Amino acid sequence: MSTRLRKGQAPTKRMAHVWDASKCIACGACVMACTSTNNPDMMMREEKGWNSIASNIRRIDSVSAQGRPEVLLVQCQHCEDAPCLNTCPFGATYMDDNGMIRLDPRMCSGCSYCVTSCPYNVRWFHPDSKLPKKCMGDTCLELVDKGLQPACVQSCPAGARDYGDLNDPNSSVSVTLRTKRSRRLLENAGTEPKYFVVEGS
Amino acid sequence: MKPTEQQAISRRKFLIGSAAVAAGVLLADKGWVDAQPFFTPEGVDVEGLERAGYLVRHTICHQCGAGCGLTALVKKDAPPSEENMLIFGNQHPEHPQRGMCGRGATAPYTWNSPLRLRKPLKRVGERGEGSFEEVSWDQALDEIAAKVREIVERDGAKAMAFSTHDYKAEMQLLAWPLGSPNVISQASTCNTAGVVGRRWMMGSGFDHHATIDPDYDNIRYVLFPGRSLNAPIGAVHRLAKAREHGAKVVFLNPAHPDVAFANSDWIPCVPGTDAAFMLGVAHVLVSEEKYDESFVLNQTNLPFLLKADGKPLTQEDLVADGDANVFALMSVDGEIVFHDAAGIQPELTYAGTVTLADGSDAAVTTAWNRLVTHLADYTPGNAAQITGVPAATITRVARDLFIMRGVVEDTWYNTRNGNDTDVIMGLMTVNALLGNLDQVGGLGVRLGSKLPGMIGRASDGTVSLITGDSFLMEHTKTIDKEIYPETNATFDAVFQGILDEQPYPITGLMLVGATIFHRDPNVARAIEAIKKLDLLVTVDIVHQEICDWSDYVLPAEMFLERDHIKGIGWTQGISVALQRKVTDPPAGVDARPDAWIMLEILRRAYPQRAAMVGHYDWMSDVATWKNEWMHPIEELRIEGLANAWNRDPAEVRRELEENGFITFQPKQYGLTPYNRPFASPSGRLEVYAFRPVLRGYREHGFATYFDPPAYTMPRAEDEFFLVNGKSPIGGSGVAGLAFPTQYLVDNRLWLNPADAERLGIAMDDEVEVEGLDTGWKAKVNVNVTPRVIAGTAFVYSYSGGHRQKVVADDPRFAKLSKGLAPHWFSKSWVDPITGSNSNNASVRIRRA
Ligand code: SF4
Ligand code: SF4
Ligand code: SF4
Repeated sequence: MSTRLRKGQAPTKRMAHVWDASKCIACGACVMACTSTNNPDMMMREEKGWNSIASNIRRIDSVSAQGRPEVLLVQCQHCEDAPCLNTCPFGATYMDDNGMIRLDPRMCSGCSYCVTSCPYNVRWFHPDSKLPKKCMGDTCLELVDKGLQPACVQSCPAGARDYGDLNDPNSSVSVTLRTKRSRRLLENAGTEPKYFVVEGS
Repeated sequence: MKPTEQQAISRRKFLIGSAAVAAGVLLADKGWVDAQPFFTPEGVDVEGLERAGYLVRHTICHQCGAGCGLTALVKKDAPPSEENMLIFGNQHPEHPQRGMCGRGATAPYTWNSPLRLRKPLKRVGERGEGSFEEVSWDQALDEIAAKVREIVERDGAKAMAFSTHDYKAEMQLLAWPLGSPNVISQASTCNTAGVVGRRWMMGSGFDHHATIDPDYDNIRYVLFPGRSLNAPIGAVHRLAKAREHGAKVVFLNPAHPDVAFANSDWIPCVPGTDAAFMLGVAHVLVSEEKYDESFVLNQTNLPFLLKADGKPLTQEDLVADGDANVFALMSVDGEIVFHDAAGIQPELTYAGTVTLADGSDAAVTTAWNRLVTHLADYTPGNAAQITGVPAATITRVARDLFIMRGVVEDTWYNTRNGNDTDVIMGLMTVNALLGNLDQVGGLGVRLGSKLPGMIGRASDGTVSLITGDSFLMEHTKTIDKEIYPETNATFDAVFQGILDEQPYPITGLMLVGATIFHRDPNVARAIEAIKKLDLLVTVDIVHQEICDWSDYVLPAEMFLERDHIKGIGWTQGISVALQRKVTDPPAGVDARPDAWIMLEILRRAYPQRAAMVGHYDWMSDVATWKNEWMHPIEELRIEGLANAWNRDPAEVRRELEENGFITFQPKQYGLTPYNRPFASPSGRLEVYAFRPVLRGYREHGFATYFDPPAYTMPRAEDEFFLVNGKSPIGGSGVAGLAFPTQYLVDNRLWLNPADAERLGIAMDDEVEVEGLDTGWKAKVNVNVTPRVIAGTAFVYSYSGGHRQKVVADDPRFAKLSKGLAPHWFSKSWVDPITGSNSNNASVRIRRA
């Protein structure tokens, strides 16, 4: 298990999600895999806040400036300067040694400060525990600990997802980000997100 | 991904590829701690898992009809539950059709869905009311058998009709011994136009939509007219890789397909105008001399000579006792030659006079010359007027196709507007000019797998089972073929039989996996027909809307619960896959195999006829039947397959079990039609289709554009085309009813922003939609989106308008009843020759 960092401490790894919008076919397999992997108890229950299934991934439809239909998949960005971490009064939200933003449920009071402070609106409340949920889910964290890929990466039939260490220049995500055009969401929010949207070669 | 060094060296069996979604759930939530060590970044150690109490089961997804490869991990000796099984895409890098898409991901949801059929149901209320009592299998089967017998004896066996999407052989086990030929699939509401178009140009055996497919691995440019490529997902996976290498992907469609999000071009076009687009492209290719001359000369019938009446010049015309099936060409030496001769060097542009056998003279010209004249009407400018696609785009597509040696994909679901056969003929005309058939990166022709079927029928009416059982059927022509001579299956004929009793009455109907209200156009007429039936039996997995109208509803096994062997379609090489049982049905679901249900009805109605197909009363126990009837048949099929490929049956079975599939032969390029002729009259790709001309169906053999005959054309400001398409999430009968579908698939009506503004409609407003032809009215919310061309409204099929009582009664599924079923509005226009039906419609849209 990856350890909790203290304030000012830098993570050893900077694990990042890469979603290739130029490959994604909007099939929803990752959205469902996220639910069945991390919150199987929610498989037949609605996530009331988003009026959707209880997944850590949300789909947003939009149109580009050129009028081109676009789809965006949004999930926790594992920001290097995370507003949720900064606003949590109880220190329940923290960054781990992999650079992942995590929640310690024992310290969480369910006050929802993190939910409202997230500029990406990716946190939701579990209806039973009343605690916030987001990527990475517990099971995905275990997968990653085993050296495996998270559920969304494994389930994607179009090869549109990847997860790896930005600090390792040879990791597949580093190679992708070096060789392909990519962007981050709400770049100007000062959050330094670690979720990359690949837009093409 | 190639096997790693460790996998290659190790003697342990590895499940190659990443461990998939599955691994996740097992590690934490299932408490499957003992399975953890066998999931490594190297792959999954199958034998290790088995020792630890877990089975790896490869299977074939059946959440839609595409049949992609899935893999499941199941806990041995544990009760069936979602907790004890994990399903993910087969990760073998060589698997020709790797799953899984958003529909496949709903398989566990379907398996134990609150909408799953659990017990046989008998209707107690009015048809359509959805009131049932649970009855025992014995009672249901006995009562159905008695009713079938009554119908057969009163109205004749032909009065019993059967329909299914995927279980034709299973239904034939009942229908054929009864003496009814009428097992009629959904084809006319899906693929008939394409099948007939391909048959007219390439002949039988080359007409199926899974037979000819782009060589995705090597594709450079592919144009998809009307196809959204929502399935098979294995093809999408391959296309994604091709895109990495720079392949260009273009969709021609009134609505933006989901797959087009992935860096593809979308060319919006007016519904029903694809043929004009294709002929516009052909015009550019011909006028700019961008065609493969060698292919045109040697592999198409464009150099063949035509008489003034449009019929081909034959040997019979030219010599006494000549053969009417041998066609004439003019050689470059100015000699008449016949198409069956070797080494022909034909003249492409000959026009002149020939002397016929009776001494008279006849004017003849090559099909090429006629094509050039025909295409004169389809300048890019003219095509632009019809299609709404700018002329420059049509020209650019033509040039790109030629320069990049691209292909036009030959469609799957294409029965939309009533002029769809000409779309297929048009796109195959373009492919003929490009000459890119069966080449690397071209349009590949797949050969048959040699997998023997369970049941078959010879032209003399002899029905044979693979076991050797056989009997003679007196009447073999299905009711639809009595009306539509070229159809592959037109279910509308059954409605005609019920309602008009023409050509003869149909009084009983059985359905297996046939979602009539979300499949067949004109729901009001379907209801009228259903009300008139003496017997309606539905066999399904989940409670579809049609169940509410059925006298008996029988729960069937879903794919996770059955063993079956099947060929893999939409691939280049020849592959076969094994569907292995993953689990029993969940507790409380008393589902039975489709074939057993059919055989038991037969046995209870006519025991001697059941004996003709090897089914006896001691097989009424399902487990016994599986051992004594089903299993030997599957073994015989594997044996037949192995023998056909000179392989040892035991080895074939072992390999199928180990990997889930076998590729018996990789793609051999350059075979068809170069060394293996098509089955068309000329053996060539017939750009000028001889068959419809020789049979008197058409004046000439070229693709032509004409306005869609299937609906009243929308004219007024508030009138629209209504088109539909599938989503890779909920786009199938079963996946459409899965819990996540109602959240992940948009069930609103799409309208273009320009139209919405004109009508004063804002995002999410409620509108009333009224069918111009059917008068059906319904309310729906609107998604204002540029994903649909102006003048057209779009809905996803299967994901809305579910009106069954169980859905209305269960708040968890409330959203499924919202939205529209497109078939409320389409009038069910059927082409009199091809029997192709049409799902599109025209509607009036007003603010509610
Ligand atoms: S990493 Fe896991 S928790 Fe995060 S989005 Fe992917 S599947 Fe969901
Ligand atoms: S599974 Fe892959 S293709 Fe499907 S929605 Fe997710 S990222 Fe896109
Ligand atoms: S396309 Fe999807 S639903 Fe259809 S068979 Fe493949 S994985 Fe299953």
